[in-house]
Amino acid sequence: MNGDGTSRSLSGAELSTLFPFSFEISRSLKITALGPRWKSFAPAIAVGDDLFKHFAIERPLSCVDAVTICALREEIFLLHVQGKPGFTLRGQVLSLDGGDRILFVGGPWIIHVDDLVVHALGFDDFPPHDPRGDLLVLLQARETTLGDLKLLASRLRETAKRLDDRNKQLEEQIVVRDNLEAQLRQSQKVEAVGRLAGGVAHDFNNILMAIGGYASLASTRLAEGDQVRHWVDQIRAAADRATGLTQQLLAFSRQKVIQPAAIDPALEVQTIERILRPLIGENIHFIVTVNAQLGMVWMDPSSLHQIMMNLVINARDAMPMGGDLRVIVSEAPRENALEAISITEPTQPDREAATATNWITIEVIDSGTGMDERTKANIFDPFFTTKDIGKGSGLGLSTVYGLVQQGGGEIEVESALGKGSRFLVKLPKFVAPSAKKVVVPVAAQSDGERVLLVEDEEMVRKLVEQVLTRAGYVVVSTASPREAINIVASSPRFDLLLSDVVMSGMTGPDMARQIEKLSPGICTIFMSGYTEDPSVRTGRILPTQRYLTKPFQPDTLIAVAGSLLASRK
Amino acid sequence: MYGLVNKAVEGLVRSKFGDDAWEKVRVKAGVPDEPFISMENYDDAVTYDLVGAACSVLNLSPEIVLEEFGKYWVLYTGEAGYGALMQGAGDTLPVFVKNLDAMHTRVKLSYPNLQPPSFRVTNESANAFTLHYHTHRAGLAPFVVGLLKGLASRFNVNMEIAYTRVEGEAPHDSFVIRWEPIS
Ligand code: HEM
Repeated sequence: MNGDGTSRSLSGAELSTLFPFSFEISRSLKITALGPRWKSFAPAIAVGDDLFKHFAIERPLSCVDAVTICALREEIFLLHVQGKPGFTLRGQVLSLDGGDRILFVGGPWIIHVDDLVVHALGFDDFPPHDPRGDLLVLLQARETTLGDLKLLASRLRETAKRLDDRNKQLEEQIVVRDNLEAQLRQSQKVEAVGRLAGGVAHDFNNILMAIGGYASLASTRLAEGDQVRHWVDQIRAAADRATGLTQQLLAFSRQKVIQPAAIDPALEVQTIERILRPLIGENIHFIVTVNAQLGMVWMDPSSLHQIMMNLVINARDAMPMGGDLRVIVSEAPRENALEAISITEPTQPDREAATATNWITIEVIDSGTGMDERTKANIFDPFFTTKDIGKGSGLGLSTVYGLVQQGGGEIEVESALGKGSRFLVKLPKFVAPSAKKVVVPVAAQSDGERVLLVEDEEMVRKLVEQVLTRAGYVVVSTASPREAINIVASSPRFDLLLSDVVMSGMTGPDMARQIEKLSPGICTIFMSGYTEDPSVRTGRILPTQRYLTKPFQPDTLIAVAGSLLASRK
Repeated sequence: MYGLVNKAVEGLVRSKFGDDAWEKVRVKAGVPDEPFISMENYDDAVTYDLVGAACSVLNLSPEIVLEEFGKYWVLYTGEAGYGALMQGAGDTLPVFVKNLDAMHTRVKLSYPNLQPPSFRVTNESANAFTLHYHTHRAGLAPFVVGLLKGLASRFNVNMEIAYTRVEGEAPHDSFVIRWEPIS
């Protein structure tokens, strides 16, 4: 219907201009007419052909017969053309003459702009009334946007991955830090307990010393077989047991004083070998070579043990797949012997070590993974470790370093990745003082040597005074280090200084240094069961000094004093 | 199917069962941890795998998951930027249902490779009709049930659905639907 009320139909030519891709079918689904564009676009399609020979109906999905097709004339139709993949016709059907003729009106439906080229289509194929021409531009826009989106998505993915990696790194770092913190807390705890234990042991040792000492003195005054002497001996035995307990406490708190002595490195290394061999594992060939006729070194045996343990266990851990682990103990000449010593120990020129002209060397060589430069540079750093978390604290090699230095020695490392490592520990060979100075400690009577006794614990001071006096020494005693210094200042003629280490006001070693200046050549014996003084704990004990662990037996004191004074002559 | 659908599956799992559940479903289905792009065409297998994984992670039958998904889809598309299109499809249940084909065909404009279903209405009376569901895909009848229930609540009607499978030249699912407005 149009405005003036008369009906009007489109001529075939007008229809062809509006819909160049139109076509008509009969009720039996035969093609009865074709629009003008078909001839050039798909020449194979001819009037009289079956509809489904050339066309497939994509939508509506269920269209299989003429009745359905006519019934769906309000629907959008999508048709595919045989031999034209990617090309779709979109339109609508009109039922004419009561369904005898079915007219398809519509046009090309492009889903990718590139299909324009593929199917040789142009803008002329989209008549002006048909908005599908504009759709091409929208399609292009859609593709561009989708491209941008995918690019953004992939960037996002990369960024997310980078963030993720960084996160993992940070998490790992946090774990390492937490671990270190836990270690620190643990060591602080141990230290606190150690202080407590050490403090208790200190007081305890003084008391035990008084009990054991007086029991000893009493015992010597009583006849053998006397019932009272038996009881007194029981008191002494009980004090000895208590002494064992305090020793355990001190060992736990690691407050035990380092007590260097002349030790045979060959012997010690063999002892350590026996302890370590079972820990090495069967896939590692453990060879220990000790060159005969080595000298001695001046060191606490437990320090040497610790050095060896750390080096050997590290070597083992560097060879998870097995290999050779060699330990070689030998002697090597020492270049610049005196210089080396005077640099490290300028205040102790007469220390035995200074006269050493040879090194005793201990090499620990593995055929393991080796180290890169960075690792090598950091290896003695207290918290540096390459071991997995939980496997090593990182304190091992720094401890080795500290112990070797304390012993007046040096340590060197050679290593390359994949080539294994070689640790060389050099310890100064100990030259024994001339034969007359070597004295076997025996309890001896004094011929009146003068002893200055400094001890702030009255119980202990009284006991030691008695023990020394009974042994023939002339004893001057005081509870105060300051007073001790004054005494020596006014009368420097003392042979022996016998002093506690931890005292109020001034430590034993500090006091001893001053007294030694006032009275050169004076011998010193420190007595303590526990000390916080690092100068003593790190083992800087001169040849004119001895260290006595409280509690000690009266006989021991006399023997040590005797041998020390004898070595001075 | 297009990313839009997979996104809706994700939305359903997240909103009903939480983010952790979605993470499990995603991993189980072997889908990478990336947002779905609505307009990208994914293999149908992705959607089927997601539904399968959801069944096993949430310990639900496929029927229940698909039906839930159907209900959710009506809500979701209504909210995911297609509200106007949905409204344009009709303001009564029968009109809307009859417009589903045209709606999906139009949606093909932005989803060119869309393979939408076809819905035919027959035997229409005042409060009943038969809905014929034609599809390229298998096993989605429970999804349509969910969709219909979703539409029932969208149009505020009570609905009864009777399902039959129709074999023959054009095999499809058919649903006899009785409905009445909730007074
Ligand atoms: C504006 C709203 C809607 C949009 C944008 C939409 C879009 C889609 C999309 C993208 C698909 C996936 C097909 C493919 O990727 O190949 C789909 C499938 C489907 N849609 Fe819709 N849809 C809408 C509304 C509806 C409604 C209201 C129904 C309800 C009856 C429905 C019924 C279906 C069904 C049953 C399928 C499954 C596909 C199949 O059977 O092959 N859709 N739709």
